[in-house]
Amino acid sequence: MAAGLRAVRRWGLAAAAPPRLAFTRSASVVKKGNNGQPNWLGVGMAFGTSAALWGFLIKEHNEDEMEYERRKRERRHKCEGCS
Amino acid sequence: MVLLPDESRSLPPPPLLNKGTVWFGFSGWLAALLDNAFNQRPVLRAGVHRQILFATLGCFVGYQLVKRAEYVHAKVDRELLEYIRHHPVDFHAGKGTLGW
Repeated sequence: MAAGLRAVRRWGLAAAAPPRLAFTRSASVVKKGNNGQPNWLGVGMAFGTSAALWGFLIKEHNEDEMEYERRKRERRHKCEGCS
Repeated sequence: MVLLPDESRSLPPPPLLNKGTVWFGFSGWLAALLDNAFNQRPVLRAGVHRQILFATLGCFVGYQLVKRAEYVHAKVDRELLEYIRHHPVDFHAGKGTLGW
């Protein structure tokens, strides 16, 4: 960044224009977040989504188990049918 | 490309507590703790709803990925065993030309 500034001065910009927009790009942005008052909507949505996800996961697991058992039975019946 | 083709349901489903679920769930929880740390909140005690949500998402993603991995491994095993079945000469034990 310093090399860039030196180059700018070399190009003869005698009167350095003041920065129009005095903003900096910084990775750390500190918001005045208020952690004292809970964001109840966010909390409710997070818990609701977690409960829904767990319910879906457990349901999917049970369905997969039943489907596996069903296909195992079908395969056995099919093999017994030809012998 | 479908994540889980229909024939993957012929495989026994992995238990709900498996290495994918545990690892991804733990990393989700860790991400929530890191979020607390970067926002200068108490690491373990703040945002429990966020920790639970991230851990749940991790468990969910881990479970789907383990199912996919087991399907891919089973498919490769099936193709390997089919090949062995179709080329018995190459795999005939005991009567090899080199005698071993």
